Amino acid sequence: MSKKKGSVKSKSRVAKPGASEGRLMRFDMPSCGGCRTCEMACSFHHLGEFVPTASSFIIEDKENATGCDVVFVDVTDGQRLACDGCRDLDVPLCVDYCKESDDLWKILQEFLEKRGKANEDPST
Amino acid sequence: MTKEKDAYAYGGKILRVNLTDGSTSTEPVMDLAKEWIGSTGIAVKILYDELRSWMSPYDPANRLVIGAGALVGTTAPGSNKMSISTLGPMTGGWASSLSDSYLGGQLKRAGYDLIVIRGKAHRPVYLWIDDTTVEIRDASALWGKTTWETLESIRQDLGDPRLHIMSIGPAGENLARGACAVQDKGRAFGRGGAGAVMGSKNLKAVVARGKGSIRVADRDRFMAIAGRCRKMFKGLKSETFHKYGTLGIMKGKQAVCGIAYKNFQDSHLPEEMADAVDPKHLIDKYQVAKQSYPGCAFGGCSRIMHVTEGPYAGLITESNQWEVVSTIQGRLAVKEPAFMLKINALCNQYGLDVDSVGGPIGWAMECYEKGIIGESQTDGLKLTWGNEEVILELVRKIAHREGFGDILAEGCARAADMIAPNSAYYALNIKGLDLYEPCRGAMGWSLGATTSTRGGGHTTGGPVIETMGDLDVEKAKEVYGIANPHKPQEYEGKAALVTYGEILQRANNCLGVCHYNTAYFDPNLPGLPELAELYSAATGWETSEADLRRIMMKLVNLEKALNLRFTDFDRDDDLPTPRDLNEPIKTGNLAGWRIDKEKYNKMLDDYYDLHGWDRETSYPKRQTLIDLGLEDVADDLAKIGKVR
Repeated sequence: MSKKKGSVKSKSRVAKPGASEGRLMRFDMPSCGGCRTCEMACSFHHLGEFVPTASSFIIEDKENATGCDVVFVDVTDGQRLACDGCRDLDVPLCVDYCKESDDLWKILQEFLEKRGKANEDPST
Repeated sequence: MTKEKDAYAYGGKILRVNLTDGSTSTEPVMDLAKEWIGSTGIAVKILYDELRSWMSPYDPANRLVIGAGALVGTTAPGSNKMSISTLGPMTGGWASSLSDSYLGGQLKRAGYDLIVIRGKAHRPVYLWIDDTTVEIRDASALWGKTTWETLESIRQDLGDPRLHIMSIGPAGENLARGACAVQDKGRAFGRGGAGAVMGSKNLKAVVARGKGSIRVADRDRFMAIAGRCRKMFKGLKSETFHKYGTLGIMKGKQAVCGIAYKNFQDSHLPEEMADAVDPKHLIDKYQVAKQSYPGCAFGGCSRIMHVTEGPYAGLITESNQWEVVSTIQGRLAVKEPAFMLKINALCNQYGLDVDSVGGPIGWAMECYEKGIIGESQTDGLKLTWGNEEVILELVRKIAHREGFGDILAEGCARAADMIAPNSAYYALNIKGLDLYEPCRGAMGWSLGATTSTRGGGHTTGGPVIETMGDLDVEKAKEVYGIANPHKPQEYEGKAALVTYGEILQRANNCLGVCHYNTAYFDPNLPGLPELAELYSAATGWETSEADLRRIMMKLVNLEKALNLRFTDFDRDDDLPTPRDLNEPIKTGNLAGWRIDKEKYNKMLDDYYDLHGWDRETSYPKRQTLIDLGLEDVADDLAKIGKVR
């Protein structure tokens, strides 16, 4: 996959641990059309079934703005499952099923990097 | 959520709703699914078995069958289609229409593949399915609201801003025959009048939310074929389609004379108009976001538009599809480019099929031009070509059945019959359904549209590839099985091309796969072999291409039989309109070209032969039905003298 510069802007919001929705990281993906096939692929990676409510992230519509937010849920809360980066695959399954795969790939890498740092810093 | 044990790919259940007494029940879907495959197949079987000859479209006893295709909720390409099937108020026979949806996945994850609705509620209601909980809720406060207002109200009412719904607008409530249901704000279950049937049942909307899962029988096999299908989209025309969707075909359609102009007086726009209204310009100027639906391997054929200039400045809406460019913009000769966005949004808000707007208004404008009707009949409106203000007012009148709109709400065929029988020639319809398809110059396309069991329409057999300028011809020959798929003016072989289309497009509809994600659009995209493999892997039921072909032909025959029971359709109803049969194309590359009636009739004979139907009457032959396992249907038709 090419690593071309995508139009991805991150505006991560890392919630305090213990917040009811877990730690969230939100990324802006202006190129996303909102098909949510990635959510289905993600859940299949974790569970072997298509159950989008178990996906490691939520694709959220935006009001009067371009694209969608990709909101990673970084906890295993009984419903959603934490992203493991699809370590067993060459290309993460969500990226494989995304038409704007370069952009989602970049967001995923940024997420994994930020999560790694956040896990090292308990104040976040 | 309780799932049927072996409900792979399927949600597992059929939900039955009786709106008259408010009762609901469920039954397993699997037995029907094994024989009829997915939403539209099961729906026509249910309609055929349960409708009686004394029932009519607005009869509370009529069934409304809403379904989500067998692959909806998986990562199969384009697997997001929902369908509504019913006895339709336009043709009086089989009516079925599909829409892209998020709702379909929600419905299946709640455990339901289909909803079969009968009866009539005593007051306006909407159906709320929240996993296993089914509730019929009061919709009195929603009655009169547009589909857009209804979406917001229901999301507020149920406290979930992410809910997806299908609803009718004022047109459905007022029984405009061309009323449709709309998914959220921009995707219509367009043709056939199912929205009016919803209105006749006092059913304002259907809402579903499901948190369950869709399982597949063989995970590795399914993901292998789903992944392989996905790779088939690399390159091809997909980048152009990704950028412009169906709106990118203006130049191609103009080149093959495939655009209605002034109610089909021509099928080619004046060049300066074609340049001005090419929707690519609108997209380049006004697109603010892409819009895509689950599974789409193109990443979406649509976009959100924000008009910032001109008479419709301020409008924010999902873009129209190509159909509007021809059926309204061209047919009514409107020169303002952004009008297509405005009229599409208005039709969606009111819940009106765009073809059932363009059809009757096109007829009325031509009658006005020719002096057949005047302002005494049009509520004083001057029905001049391209008059945007008047068109918008007529749409409002149709939706509310007000004044002249009450007549136009009947569709062009009935409208002509009601007030100006001598104008029937200008009422372009097939089997009573307003026609969108330009039928001159593309014979497979024409044959598919005019033989369609649901009335005029290209989504149950019409080969869109026939007029694709950049068709991979060698691959097309191999896939479609004819020598001349790229020669639209030729008649030979086109019956076989349409028959292939009938099979493929029904398979798509049953599985819930968007046509554009398949060989309907390009022979290099997933076709019947890939669909059979996807379905086999997903369900665990080994299903070959030959199986799909046989079952889909069985469906064609059952739809045909349903029509024969409820209508008097025969061979004449499978022919193009008198205008298309008699007039040449006037301008463009095909100027002077006209249908050769003898060759056309020979093509229709070939079509009947391929189907095992009688040439003279169009009725099925008894042996044909027996061979398909439809002996009971042959017996039914024998009682009314419609089997040969």
